[in-house]
Amino acid sequence: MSESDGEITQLLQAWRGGDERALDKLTPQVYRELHQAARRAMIREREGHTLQPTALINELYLRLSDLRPVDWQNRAHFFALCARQMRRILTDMARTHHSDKRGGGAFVVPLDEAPEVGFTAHAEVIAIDDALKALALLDERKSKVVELRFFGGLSVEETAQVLEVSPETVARDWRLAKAWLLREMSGEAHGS
Amino acid sequence: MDRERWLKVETIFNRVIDADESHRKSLLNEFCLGDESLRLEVESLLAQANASGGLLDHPPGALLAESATVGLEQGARLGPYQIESLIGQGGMGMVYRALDTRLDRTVAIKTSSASFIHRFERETRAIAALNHPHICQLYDVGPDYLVMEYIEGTPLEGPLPLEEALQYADQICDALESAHLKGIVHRDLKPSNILLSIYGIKLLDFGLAQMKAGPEDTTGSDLTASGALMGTPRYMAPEQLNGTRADARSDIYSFGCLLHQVLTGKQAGPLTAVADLGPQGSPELRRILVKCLQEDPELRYQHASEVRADLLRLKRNTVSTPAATTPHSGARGVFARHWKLIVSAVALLIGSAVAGYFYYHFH
Repeated sequence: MSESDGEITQLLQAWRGGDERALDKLTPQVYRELHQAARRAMIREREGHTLQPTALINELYLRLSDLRPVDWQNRAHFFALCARQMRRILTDMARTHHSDKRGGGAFVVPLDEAPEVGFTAHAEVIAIDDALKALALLDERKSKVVELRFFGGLSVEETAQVLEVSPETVARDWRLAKAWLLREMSGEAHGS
Repeated sequence: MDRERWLKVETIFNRVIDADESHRKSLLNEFCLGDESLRLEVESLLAQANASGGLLDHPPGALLAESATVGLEQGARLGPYQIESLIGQGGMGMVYRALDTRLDRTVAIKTSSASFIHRFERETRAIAALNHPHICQLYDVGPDYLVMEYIEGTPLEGPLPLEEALQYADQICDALESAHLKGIVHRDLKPSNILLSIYGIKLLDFGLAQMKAGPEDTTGSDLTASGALMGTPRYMAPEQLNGTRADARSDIYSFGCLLHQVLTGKQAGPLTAVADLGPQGSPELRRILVKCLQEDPELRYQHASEVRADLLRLKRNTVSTPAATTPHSGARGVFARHWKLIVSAVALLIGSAVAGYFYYHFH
């Protein structure tokens, strides 16, 4: 257990107690923790594991709640915070990668030609993030549903808990949001 | 779109998608009441909702699996090697510039996305035994990484003037000849595997395609278990694409594609016949290319040394006549392409001259 774990739990408690400034301090800490976890997960991925954001968030959650009795029962809000940071982490990674492939310095040692798959995958994560920003302007709740479900890996029930709506609403939001995002990314928007 | 209209879209979308498939069209018309743009809006969303294979149904981590090996940061250690920076990435993994802390030597480290080395001891030994001025040297093998000579250079890309192209072709053939004699086939010869450094040509990744394919691959094909083709199809010989075992003559085919690319800047292959060699084309050059690019390996040059001899003869017969190249534009072209190398070479010369001056003055 590191010092930062203790600090995160303290900040979480303060945030729960209504201290908004605590959230400002908490966010970068959570970003860092999840970023490290994502990198570790991606190294493991070399051995055939798949990075599951929800697993990373759970891991962090369990580690923090292990530290002290869980007196911040509102697990859902912690997950919501994590989902947002996860989105940033994954799109940052995709963007870094994407720009690397567009050609970095002039002197590069052997570049195998990168497989198309990898290239488009990064572009897709970036496209989803961009489309999600557009969706937030139209319908903020639906964009949050996608953030929690896709980037945070939350279930319909967990998402419903965070957003304080019924699971049915989340399921409907998710269905329409996906259709809207896919259409947005395919560049065939109508009447907007 | 305003809020009100969006709510309308949402309501109709949910009503229609929940309805029985046979009723959808009539429901849609009914709800839209002749508002054509509204109908189109909802219809396009329904089409997306019905299309399966959803991008958003898989965790984003799976999409980013490619970045799996981003794990190494500056200063990280891999055995005795200290990572300095990421310099490239490709199908197999990442390439880093690193420092061999024992020898204080800069090296290139290629990490692999799968730990393949244990299975390929014999191959890596053979590749490490390749010692040729135009082949990137393999220094060391780790559990899931390769340590290689660090080379500064740019990938060989055409179009280049004939004389320059022939000079590099000669070096490539020389390297191929030497490796083929040791029984090692490159199998993935293409521009990005050929660097132009201040020491001339350097062939990279010799024999690595073989390791990707696997030694226990009893069919001897270039196919992996998943059926994916190894190598870059447009530079690969037809027999490699067919899944027949690649041999030295497959490299000669790839060399033909490469020479065509270097001369013309355009791809060559079985479907794009050697046609547009431009002003520097001669019947002899065309004959050499055609012979490299024969579909049947039996009809190709059988050894790199034969290609080399023919190219050398061509060079003596054509390039020596001054009219064959325009020296000014040629020289400018070379400078434009390699100015960084030339500048560093000049800087090095000046540096040595200054050092020499001081040496003589103070000793």
